[in-house]
Amino acid sequence: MQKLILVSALLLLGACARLDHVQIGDIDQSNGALSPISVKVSENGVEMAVVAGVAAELASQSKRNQQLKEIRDFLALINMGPRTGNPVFFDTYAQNVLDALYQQCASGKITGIRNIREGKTYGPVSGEIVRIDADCIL
Amino acid sequence: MNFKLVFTLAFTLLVTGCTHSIHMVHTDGFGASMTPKTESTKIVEANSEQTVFLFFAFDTDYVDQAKADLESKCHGDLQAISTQYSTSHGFLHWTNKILMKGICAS
Repeated sequence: MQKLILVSALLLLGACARLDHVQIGDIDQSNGALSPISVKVSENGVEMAVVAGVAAELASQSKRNQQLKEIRDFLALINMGPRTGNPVFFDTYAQNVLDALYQQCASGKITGIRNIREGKTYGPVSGEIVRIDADCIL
Repeated sequence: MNFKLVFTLAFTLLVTGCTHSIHMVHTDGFGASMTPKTESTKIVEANSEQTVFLFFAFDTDYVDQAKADLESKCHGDLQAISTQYSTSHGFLHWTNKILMKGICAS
């Protein structure tokens, strides 16, 4: 029980921001005043293999410990592939950022676009974020 | 492995069977010549995929395929392209995906 409380406290205190990718485009300051706009979408991510691994470490019975390790290995096998941050269960959360950005700017002219892929991690759980900041030419 | 463990693994596979990871979303091209949103503008999109077994991938042609597909869907001015690169994970394989969207002014 003490182990569980300690690990939980570490996970809560260990919440961190994570930047995976950032890219900026042209900045046009010659065609009118600029107004900041932003689109941010996110999805919950979880690394199930890490969860099973932590549970295995916490398990007091050796048999249960072994079973959880097998589950951890199985999860790693069925979720193979490159990853940025923790895996999510839905990959459609960022599909409409283009339309959302376009709708926020009546003139349609957008400059200084910053494409940001980031996350907020709480141990094996995280918020996987896609954020587009930009300036609308008024 | 006993029956209980097999059941647990099968249940786990069912619940977490397919996870995904979005690596990058990039948007650009809303320049000074960009047209405001009207009835003559519409969003077009194209998808392409590449399945990779056990780390073996020999080309990245699926990106070019998505671009060609997007171009074929707009016969006017294709502006403001967004590109999403993601991966769907699987058992000993994964699928890389490209989603391209653009605003077509015709």
